[in-house]
Amino acid sequence: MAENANDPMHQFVINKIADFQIGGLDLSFTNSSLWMVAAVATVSLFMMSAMSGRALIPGRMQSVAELCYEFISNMVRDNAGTEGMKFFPFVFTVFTFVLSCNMLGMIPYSFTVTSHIIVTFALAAVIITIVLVYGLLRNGFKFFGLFLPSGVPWWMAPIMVPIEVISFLSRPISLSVRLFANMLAGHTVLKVFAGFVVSIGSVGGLAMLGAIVPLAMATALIGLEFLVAFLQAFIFSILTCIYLNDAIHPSH
Amino acid sequence: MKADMQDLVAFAAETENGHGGGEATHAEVGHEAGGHEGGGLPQMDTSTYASQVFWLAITFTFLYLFLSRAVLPKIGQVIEERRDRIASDLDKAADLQSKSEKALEAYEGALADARAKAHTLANETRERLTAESDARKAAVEAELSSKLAEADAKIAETKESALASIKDVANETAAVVVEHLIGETADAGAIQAAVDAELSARKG
Repeated sequence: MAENANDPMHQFVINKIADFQIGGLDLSFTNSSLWMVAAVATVSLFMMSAMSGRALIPGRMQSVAELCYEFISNMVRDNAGTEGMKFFPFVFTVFTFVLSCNMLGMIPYSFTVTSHIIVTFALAAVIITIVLVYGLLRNGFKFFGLFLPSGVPWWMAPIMVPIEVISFLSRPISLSVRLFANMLAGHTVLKVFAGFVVSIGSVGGLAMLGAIVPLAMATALIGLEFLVAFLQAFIFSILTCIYLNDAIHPSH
Repeated sequence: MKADMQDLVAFAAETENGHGGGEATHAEVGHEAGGHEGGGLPQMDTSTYASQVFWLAITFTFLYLFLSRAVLPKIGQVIEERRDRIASDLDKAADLQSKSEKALEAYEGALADARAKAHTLANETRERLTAESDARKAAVEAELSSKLAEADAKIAETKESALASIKDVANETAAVVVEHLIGETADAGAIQAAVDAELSARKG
Protein backbone atom coordinates (compact mmCIF):
# COMPACT_ATOMS: atom_id res chain seq x y z
CA MET A 1 0.00 0.00 0.00
CA ALA A 2 3.05 2.26 0.31
CA GLU A 3 2.83 3.12 -3.36
CA ASN A 4 -0.75 4.25 -2.75
CA ALA A 5 0.17 6.64 0.02
CA ASN A 6 0.79 9.51 -2.34
CA ASP A 7 -1.96 8.74 -4.80
CA PRO A 8 -4.60 11.42 -4.16
CA MET A 9 -7.28 9.23 -5.74
CA HIS A 10 -6.65 6.28 -3.49
CA GLN A 11 -8.91 7.70 -0.79
CA PHE A 12 -11.92 7.37 -3.10
CA VAL A 13 -11.43 3.69 -3.87
CA ILE A 14 -14.29 1.46 -2.85
CA ASN A 15 -13.31 -1.72 -1.04
CA LYS A 16 -15.59 -4.63 -0.48
CA ILE A 17 -16.13 -5.60 3.14
CA ALA A 18 -18.81 -8.26 2.84
CA ASP A 19 -19.82 -9.84 -0.44
CA PHE A 20 -23.52 -9.66 -1.13
CA GLN A 21 -25.24 -10.24 -4.45
CA ILE A 22 -28.86 -10.31 -5.51
CA GLY A 23 -29.89 -11.44 -8.97
CA GLY A 24 -26.50 -10.74 -10.46
CA LEU A 25 -26.36 -7.25 -8.93
CA ASP A 26 -23.35 -6.59 -6.77
CA LEU A 27 -24.82 -5.08 -3.59
CA SER A 28 -21.79 -5.78 -1.42
CA PHE A 29 -21.27 -4.01 1.85
CA THR A 30 -18.32 -1.74 1.11
CA ASN A 31 -16.36 0.96 2.91
CA SER A 32 -18.77 3.42 1.31
CA SER A 33 -21.71 1.55 2.87
CA LEU A 34 -19.83 1.46 6.17
CA TRP A 35 -19.46 5.22 6.23
CA MET A 36 -23.09 5.72 5.19
CA VAL A 37 -24.06 3.60 8.17
CA ALA A 38 -21.62 5.56 10.31
CA ALA A 39 -23.13 8.86 9.16
CA VAL A 40 -26.67 7.67 9.87
CA ALA A 41 -25.58 6.24 13.22
CA THR A 42 -23.85 9.51 14.13
CA VAL A 43 -26.93 11.58 13.37
CA SER A 44 -29.30 9.09 15.02
CA LEU A 45 -27.25 8.63 18.17
CA PHE A 46 -26.60 12.34 18.50
CA MET A 47 -30.28 13.21 18.09
CA MET A 48 -31.36 10.43 20.41
CA SER A 49 -29.01 11.36 23.22
CA ALA A 50 -29.62 15.07 22.68
CA MET A 51 -33.37 14.68 23.02
CA SER A 52 -33.36 12.01 25.73
CA GLY A 53 -33.75 14.68 28.41
CA ARG A 54 -36.48 16.66 26.64
CA ALA A 55 -35.61 19.44 29.04
CA LEU A 56 -37.58 22.64 29.05
CA ILE A 57 -34.29 24.45 29.50
CA PRO A 58 -32.05 22.71 26.96
CA GLY A 59 -28.55 21.49 27.69
CA ARG A 60 -25.66 21.85 25.30
CA MET A 61 -26.55 18.87 23.10
CA GLN A 62 -30.25 19.60 23.07
CA SER A 63 -29.51 23.21 22.08
CA VAL A 64 -27.57 21.99 19.06
CA ALA A 65 -30.39 19.62 18.08
CA GLU A 66 -32.96 22.40 18.47
CA LEU A 67 -30.73 24.81 16.60
CA CYS A 68 -30.59 22.35 13.68
CA TYR A 69 -34.35 21.92 13.85
CA GLU A 70 -35.07 25.64 13.79
CA PHE A 71 -32.38 26.29 11.19
CA ILE A 72 -33.90 23.80 8.74
CA SER A 73 -37.50 24.62 9.56
CA ASN A 74 -36.82 28.32 8.94
CA MET A 75 -35.05 27.44 5.72
CA VAL A 76 -37.99 25.36 4.51
CA ARG A 77 -40.56 27.96 5.58
CA ASP A 78 -38.65 30.85 4.00
CA ASN A 79 -38.02 29.10 0.70
CA ALA A 80 -41.01 26.82 0.21
CA GLY A 81 -43.68 28.49 2.34
CA THR A 82 -45.78 26.98 5.11
CA GLU A 83 -47.04 24.29 2.78
CA GLY A 84 -43.48 23.19 2.23
CA MET A 85 -43.32 22.19 5.89
CA LYS A 86 -44.65 18.74 4.93
CA PHE A 87 -41.24 18.17 3.36
CA PHE A 88 -39.44 19.37 6.47
CA PRO A 89 -38.49 15.87 7.67
CA PHE A 90 -37.15 15.08 4.22
CA VAL A 91 -35.07 18.25 3.97
CA PHE A 92 -33.87 17.72 7.53
CA THR A 93 -32.77 14.20 6.61
CA VAL A 94 -31.03 15.41 3.47
CA PHE A 95 -29.19 18.11 5.40
CA THR A 96 -28.11 15.94 8.32
CA PHE A 97 -27.15 13.05 6.06
CA VAL A 98 -25.03 15.15 3.72
CA LEU A 99 -23.52 17.15 6.59
CA SER A 100 -22.69 14.01 8.51
CA CYS A 101 -21.14 12.33 5.45
CA ASN A 102 -19.11 15.43 4.65
CA MET A 103 -17.91 15.84 8.22
CA LEU A 104 -17.06 12.17 8.73
CA GLY A 105 -15.09 12.44 5.49
CA MET A 106 -12.81 14.92 7.24
CA ILE A 107 -11.58 12.19 9.58
CA PRO A 108 -8.17 11.01 8.35
CA TYR A 109 -8.28 7.59 6.63
CA SER A 110 -12.06 7.75 6.47
CA PHE A 111 -14.14 7.60 3.30
CA THR A 112 -16.19 10.49 1.96
CA VAL A 113 -19.50 9.05 0.80
CA THR A 114 -20.51 12.29 -0.91
CA SER A 115 -17.36 12.34 -3.03
CA HIS A 116 -18.97 9.76 -5.32
CA ILE A 117 -21.11 11.15 -8.11
CA ILE A 118 -23.52 8.24 -7.97
CA VAL A 119 -24.42 8.99 -4.35
CA THR A 120 -25.00 12.69 -4.90
CA PHE A 121 -26.78 11.99 -8.16
CA ALA A 122 -29.07 9.46 -6.49
CA LEU A 123 -29.94 12.03 -3.83
CA ALA A 124 -30.58 14.69 -6.47
CA ALA A 125 -32.68 12.24 -8.49
CA VAL A 126 -34.83 11.50 -5.44
CA ILE A 127 -35.33 15.24 -4.90
CA ILE A 128 -36.23 15.93 -8.53
CA THR A 129 -38.56 12.91 -8.57
CA ILE A 130 -40.35 14.24 -5.51
CA VAL A 131 -40.60 17.68 -7.15
CA LEU A 132 -42.01 16.18 -10.35
CA VAL A 133 -44.44 13.73 -8.75
CA TYR A 134 -45.70 16.11 -6.06
CA GLY A 135 -45.86 19.03 -8.50
CA LEU A 136 -47.93 17.05 -10.98
CA LEU A 137 -50.20 15.53 -8.33
CA ARG A 138 -50.83 18.86 -6.66
CA ASN A 139 -51.08 21.17 -9.65
CA GLY A 140 -51.92 18.84 -12.53
CA PHE A 141 -51.33 20.45 -15.90
CA LYS A 142 -50.63 23.82 -14.28
CA PHE A 143 -47.30 22.41 -13.13
CA PHE A 144 -45.99 23.02 -16.66
CA GLY A 145 -46.54 26.71 -16.08
CA LEU A 146 -43.16 26.36 -14.44
CA PHE A 147 -41.67 26.34 -17.93
CA LEU A 148 -43.28 29.59 -19.02
CA PRO A 149 -42.79 32.39 -16.53
CA SER A 150 -45.88 34.56 -16.22
CA GLY A 151 -45.65 37.97 -17.83
CA VAL A 152 -43.57 36.72 -20.75
CA PRO A 153 -45.11 37.65 -24.12
CA TRP A 154 -46.51 34.64 -26.01
CA TRP A 155 -44.11 34.97 -28.92
CA MET A 156 -41.22 34.50 -26.50
CA ALA A 157 -42.53 31.05 -25.61
CA PRO A 158 -40.58 29.14 -28.29
CA ILE A 159 -37.37 30.53 -26.79
CA MET A 160 -38.32 30.55 -23.12
CA VAL A 161 -39.85 27.10 -22.86
CA PRO A 162 -36.80 25.15 -24.11
CA ILE A 163 -34.53 27.25 -21.88
CA GLU A 164 -36.70 26.59 -18.85
CA VAL A 165 -36.99 22.88 -19.68
CA ILE A 166 -33.23 22.56 -20.06
CA SER A 167 -32.64 24.47 -16.84
CA PHE A 168 -35.12 22.19 -15.06
CA LEU A 169 -33.50 19.06 -16.43
CA SER A 170 -30.03 20.25 -15.55
CA ARG A 171 -31.01 20.74 -11.93
CA PRO A 172 -30.30 17.19 -10.75
CA ILE A 173 -26.99 17.31 -12.60
CA SER A 174 -25.89 20.64 -11.20
CA LEU A 175 -27.11 19.69 -7.74
CA SER A 176 -25.21 16.42 -7.69
CA VAL A 177 -22.08 17.61 -9.50
CA ARG A 178 -21.73 20.61 -7.19
CA LEU A 179 -21.56 18.48 -4.05
CA PHE A 180 -19.53 15.67 -5.60
CA ALA A 181 -17.01 17.99 -7.27
CA ASN A 182 -16.52 20.07 -4.13
CA MET A 183 -15.82 16.99 -2.05
CA LEU A 184 -13.64 15.37 -4.70
CA ALA A 185 -11.60 18.49 -5.38
CA GLY A 186 -11.21 19.45 -1.73
CA HIS A 187 -10.06 16.04 -0.60
CA THR A 188 -7.78 15.62 -3.61
CA VAL A 189 -6.07 18.97 -3.08
CA LEU A 190 -5.72 18.21 0.61
CA LYS A 191 -4.14 14.87 -0.20
CA VAL A 192 -1.82 16.42 -2.79
CA PHE A 193 -0.50 18.98 -0.31
CA ALA A 194 -0.17 16.36 2.39
CA GLY A 195 1.73 14.23 -0.14
CA PHE A 196 4.13 17.15 -0.74
CA VAL A 197 4.85 17.31 2.96
CA VAL A 198 5.76 13.62 3.00
CA SER A 199 7.85 13.67 -0.16
CA ILE A 200 9.73 16.86 0.73
CA GLY A 201 10.16 15.67 4.30
CA SER A 202 11.56 12.33 3.19
CA VAL A 203 14.46 14.11 1.46
CA GLY A 204 15.83 14.93 4.91
CA GLY A 205 18.27 17.58 6.05
CA LEU A 206 17.60 21.26 5.40
CA ALA A 207 15.10 20.40 2.72
CA MET A 208 12.75 19.37 5.48
CA LEU A 209 12.23 23.05 6.22
CA GLY A 210 10.65 23.32 2.80
CA ALA A 211 7.93 20.96 3.95
CA ILE A 212 6.62 23.73 6.19
CA VAL A 213 5.02 25.50 3.23
CA PRO A 214 2.78 22.62 2.06
CA LEU A 215 2.12 21.73 5.71
CA ALA A 216 0.80 25.23 6.38
CA MET A 217 -1.18 25.00 3.17
CA ALA A 218 -2.69 21.65 4.14
CA THR A 219 -3.58 23.01 7.59
CA ALA A 220 -5.33 26.01 6.08
CA LEU A 221 -7.08 23.74 3.59
CA ILE A 222 -8.43 21.55 6.40
CA GLY A 223 -10.14 24.61 7.84
CA LEU A 224 -11.48 25.49 4.42
CA GLU A 225 -12.66 21.92 3.88
CA PHE A 226 -14.67 21.98 7.12
CA LEU A 227 -16.31 25.16 5.88
CA VAL A 228 -16.98 23.56 2.49
CA ALA A 229 -18.36 20.44 4.19
CA PHE A 230 -20.93 22.53 6.02
CA LEU A 231 -21.56 24.94 3.17
CA GLN A 232 -22.22 22.21 0.62
CA ALA A 233 -24.67 20.48 2.95
CA PHE A 234 -26.38 23.84 3.42
CA ILE A 235 -26.45 24.62 -0.32
CA PHE A 236 -27.71 21.13 -1.11
CA SER A 237 -30.61 21.44 1.29
CA ILE A 238 -31.49 25.04 0.46
CA LEU A 239 -31.62 24.15 -3.25
CA THR A 240 -33.85 21.23 -2.28
CA CYS A 241 -36.17 23.75 -0.64
CA ILE A 242 -36.12 26.01 -3.68
CA TYR A 243 -36.93 23.13 -6.03
CA LEU A 244 -39.71 21.94 -3.72
CA ASN A 245 -41.08 25.47 -3.83
CA ASP A 246 -41.41 25.09 -7.60
CA ALA A 247 -43.48 21.96 -7.05
CA ILE A 248 -45.74 23.78 -4.58
CA HIS A 249 -45.97 27.13 -6.38
CA PRO A 250 -45.24 26.43 -10.05
CA SER A 251 -46.19 29.89 -11.30
CA HIS A 252 -43.06 31.91 -10.78
CA MET B 1 -23.42 1.62 -21.97
CA LYS B 2 -22.88 0.60 -18.39
CA ALA B 3 -21.58 -2.81 -19.40
CA ASP B 4 -19.27 -1.18 -21.93
CA MET B 5 -17.70 1.02 -19.30
CA GLN B 6 -17.27 -1.88 -16.92
CA ASP B 7 -15.55 -3.90 -19.58
CA LEU B 8 -13.34 -0.99 -20.44
CA VAL B 9 -12.25 -0.44 -16.86
CA ALA B 10 -11.79 -4.13 -16.31
CA PHE B 11 -9.75 -4.39 -19.45
CA ALA B 12 -7.59 -1.44 -18.46
CA ALA B 13 -6.98 -2.92 -15.05
CA GLU B 14 -6.16 -6.32 -16.42
CA THR B 15 -3.72 -5.05 -18.96
CA GLU B 16 -1.98 -2.94 -16.34
CA ASN B 17 -1.76 -5.53 -13.64
CA GLY B 18 -1.55 -8.62 -15.68
CA HIS B 19 -4.34 -10.12 -13.66
CA GLY B 20 -6.15 -13.23 -14.71
CA GLY B 21 -9.67 -12.16 -15.62
CA GLY B 22 -11.64 -14.86 -13.87
CA GLU B 23 -10.97 -14.02 -10.26
CA ALA B 24 -11.14 -10.26 -10.45
CA THR B 25 -14.47 -9.19 -9.03
CA HIS B 26 -15.81 -5.78 -9.87
CA ALA B 27 -14.82 -4.29 -6.55
CA GLU B 28 -11.30 -5.61 -6.90
CA VAL B 29 -11.21 -4.08 -10.32
CA GLY B 30 -12.18 -0.78 -8.79
CA HIS B 31 -9.52 -1.19 -6.15
CA GLU B 32 -6.81 -2.02 -8.57
CA ALA B 33 -7.85 0.66 -10.98
CA GLY B 34 -7.70 3.28 -8.24
CA GLY B 35 -4.56 1.89 -6.74
CA HIS B 36 -2.41 2.96 -9.64
CA GLU B 37 -1.99 6.40 -11.03
CA GLY B 38 -3.76 6.89 -14.28
CA GLY B 39 -6.08 4.02 -13.48
CA GLY B 40 -9.12 6.27 -13.75
CA LEU B 41 -11.36 7.82 -11.15
CA PRO B 42 -12.88 5.36 -8.69
CA GLN B 43 -16.02 7.46 -9.09
CA MET B 44 -16.31 6.31 -12.68
CA ASP B 45 -16.27 2.62 -11.78
CA THR B 46 -19.86 1.76 -12.56
CA SER B 47 -19.57 -1.68 -10.99
CA THR B 48 -19.79 -0.07 -7.56
CA TYR B 49 -22.88 1.97 -8.41
CA ALA B 50 -25.48 -0.63 -7.59
CA SER B 51 -24.01 -1.25 -4.17
CA GLN B 52 -23.70 2.45 -3.39
CA VAL B 53 -27.25 3.24 -4.45
CA PHE B 54 -28.56 0.19 -2.58
CA TRP B 55 -26.89 1.11 0.69
CA LEU B 56 -27.69 4.78 0.22
CA ALA B 57 -31.36 3.84 -0.13
CA ILE B 58 -31.25 1.70 2.99
CA THR B 59 -29.35 4.16 5.19
CA PHE B 60 -31.17 7.23 3.92
CA THR B 61 -34.58 5.60 4.34
CA PHE B 62 -33.66 4.48 7.83
CA LEU B 63 -32.47 7.97 8.74
CA TYR B 64 -35.61 9.53 7.25
CA LEU B 65 -37.94 7.19 9.13
CA PHE B 66 -36.02 7.54 12.36
CA LEU B 67 -35.87 11.32 12.20
CA SER B 68 -39.42 11.88 11.00
CA ARG B 69 -40.99 9.37 13.43
CA ALA B 70 -38.85 9.56 16.53
CA VAL B 71 -36.69 12.66 16.66
CA LEU B 72 -38.37 15.56 14.89
CA PRO B 73 -41.78 15.29 16.61
CA LYS B 74 -39.94 15.21 19.93
CA ILE B 75 -37.91 18.33 19.17
CA GLY B 76 -40.99 20.07 17.78
CA GLN B 77 -42.94 19.16 20.88
CA VAL B 78 -40.22 20.43 23.21
CA ILE B 79 -39.97 23.72 21.32
CA GLU B 80 -43.76 24.03 21.27
CA GLU B 81 -43.97 23.29 24.98
CA ARG B 82 -41.34 25.89 25.70
CA ARG B 83 -43.14 28.45 23.56
CA ASP B 84 -46.42 27.71 25.37
CA ARG B 85 -44.71 27.84 28.73
CA ILE B 86 -43.09 31.18 27.94
CA ALA B 87 -46.39 32.57 26.64
CA SER B 88 -48.27 31.40 29.72
CA ASP B 89 -45.51 32.73 31.97
CA LEU B 90 -45.72 36.07 30.22
CA ASP B 91 -49.50 36.04 30.61
CA LYS B 92 -49.11 35.21 34.26
CA ALA B 93 -46.56 37.97 34.68
CA ALA B 94 -48.86 40.48 32.97
CA ASP B 95 -51.73 39.29 35.16
CA LEU B 96 -49.67 39.65 38.28
CA GLN B 97 -48.50 43.04 37.18
CA SER B 98 -52.05 44.30 36.63
CA LYS B 99 -52.98 42.80 40.00
CA SER B 100 -50.12 44.54 41.71
CA GLU B 101 -51.03 47.77 39.96
CA LYS B 102 -54.59 47.40 41.21
CA ALA B 103 -53.30 46.67 44.68
CA LEU B 104 -51.13 49.75 44.50
CA GLU B 105 -54.13 51.79 43.41
CA ALA B 106 -56.22 50.39 46.25
CA TYR B 107 -53.41 51.07 48.66
CA GLU B 108 -53.09 54.62 47.46
CA GLY B 109 -56.87 55.08 47.69
CA ALA B 110 -56.87 53.69 51.21
CA LEU B 111 -53.98 55.92 52.09
CA ALA B 112 -55.79 59.00 50.76
CA ASP B 113 -58.96 57.95 52.60
CA ALA B 114 -57.07 57.45 55.82
CA ARG B 115 -55.34 60.77 55.36
CA ALA B 116 -58.67 62.54 54.79
CA LYS B 117 -60.20 60.77 57.75
CA ALA B 118 -57.29 61.70 59.94
CA HIS B 119 -57.59 65.24 58.74
CA THR B 120 -61.31 65.50 59.56
CA LEU B 121 -60.73 63.72 62.86
CA ALA B 122 -58.02 66.20 63.76
CA ASN B 123 -60.26 69.07 62.74
CA GLU B 124 -63.16 67.73 64.75
CA THR B 125 -61.00 67.17 67.77
CA ARG B 126 -59.51 70.60 67.49
CA GLU B 127 -62.96 72.16 67.21
CA ARG B 128 -64.28 70.09 70.07
CA LEU B 129 -61.34 70.99 72.22
CA THR B 130 -61.63 74.64 71.32
CA ALA B 131 -65.33 74.59 72.10
CA GLU B 132 -64.72 72.84 75.39
CA SER B 133 -61.98 75.15 76.44
CA ASP B 134 -64.08 78.14 75.38
CA ALA B 135 -66.98 76.87 77.43
CA ARG B 136 -64.75 76.24 80.41
CA LYS B 137 -63.22 79.64 80.05
CA ALA B 138 -66.64 81.22 79.89
CA ALA B 139 -67.75 79.27 82.95
CA VAL B 140 -64.67 80.24 84.85
CA GLU B 141 -65.11 83.84 83.82
CA ALA B 142 -68.74 83.77 84.86
CA GLU B 143 -67.80 82.25 88.17
CA LEU B 144 -65.07 84.78 88.64
CA SER B 145 -67.34 87.68 87.82
CA SER B 146 -70.03 86.36 90.17
CA LYS B 147 -67.46 85.98 92.89
CA LEU B 148 -66.26 89.48 92.14
CA ALA B 149 -69.79 90.78 92.37
CA GLU B 150 -70.24 88.94 95.62
CA ALA B 151 -67.04 90.37 96.97
CA ASP B 152 -68.10 93.82 95.84
CA ALA B 153 -71.42 93.35 97.59
CA LYS B 154 -69.68 92.16 100.72
CA ILE B 155 -67.33 95.13 100.61
CA ALA B 156 -70.24 97.48 100.20
CA GLU B 157 -72.10 95.82 103.05
CA THR B 158 -69.06 95.93 105.27
CA LYS B 159 -68.57 99.53 104.36
CA GLU B 160 -72.19 100.25 105.17
CA SER B 161 -72.02 98.44 108.46
CA ALA B 162 -68.73 100.13 109.18
CA LEU B 163 -70.31 103.46 108.40
CA ALA B 164 -73.30 102.58 110.60
CA SER B 165 -71.05 101.63 113.44
CA ILE B 166 -69.09 104.86 112.84
CA LYS B 167 -72.38 106.70 113.40
CA ASP B 168 -72.98 104.85 116.66
CA VAL B 169 -69.39 105.43 117.72
CA ALA B 170 -69.72 109.08 116.73
CA ASN B 171 -73.01 109.40 118.67
CA GLU B 172 -71.53 107.80 121.76
CA THR B 173 -68.30 109.77 121.43
CA ALA B 174 -70.28 112.97 120.91
CA ALA B 175 -72.48 112.15 123.97
CA VAL B 176 -69.38 111.45 126.04
CA VAL B 177 -67.59 114.54 124.75
CA VAL B 178 -70.65 116.70 125.34
CA GLU B 179 -71.08 115.24 128.85
CA HIS B 180 -67.49 115.99 129.64
CA LEU B 181 -67.63 119.46 128.16
CA ILE B 182 -70.87 120.67 129.70
CA GLY B 183 -71.22 118.32 132.52
CA GLU B 184 -74.64 117.15 131.75
CA THR B 185 -76.19 114.52 129.63
CA ALA B 186 -77.20 115.86 126.31
CA ASP B 187 -80.31 114.89 124.53
CA ALA B 188 -79.61 111.74 122.49
CA GLY B 189 -81.85 112.82 119.66
CA ALA B 190 -80.13 116.12 119.26
CA ILE B 191 -76.70 114.53 119.21
CA GLN B 192 -77.80 112.03 116.65
CA ALA B 193 -79.17 114.73 114.40
CA ALA B 194 -76.00 116.79 114.75
CA VAL B 195 -73.77 113.79 113.94
CA ASP B 196 -75.92 112.85 110.94
CA ALA B 197 -75.72 116.39 109.66
CA GLU B 198 -71.98 116.49 110.14
CA LEU B 199 -71.47 113.07 108.48
CA SER B 200 -73.61 113.85 105.50
CA ALA B 201 -71.80 117.19 105.14
CA ARG B 202 -68.42 115.39 105.08
CA LYS B 203 -69.61 112.74 102.78
CA GLY B 204 -70.85 115.30 100.31
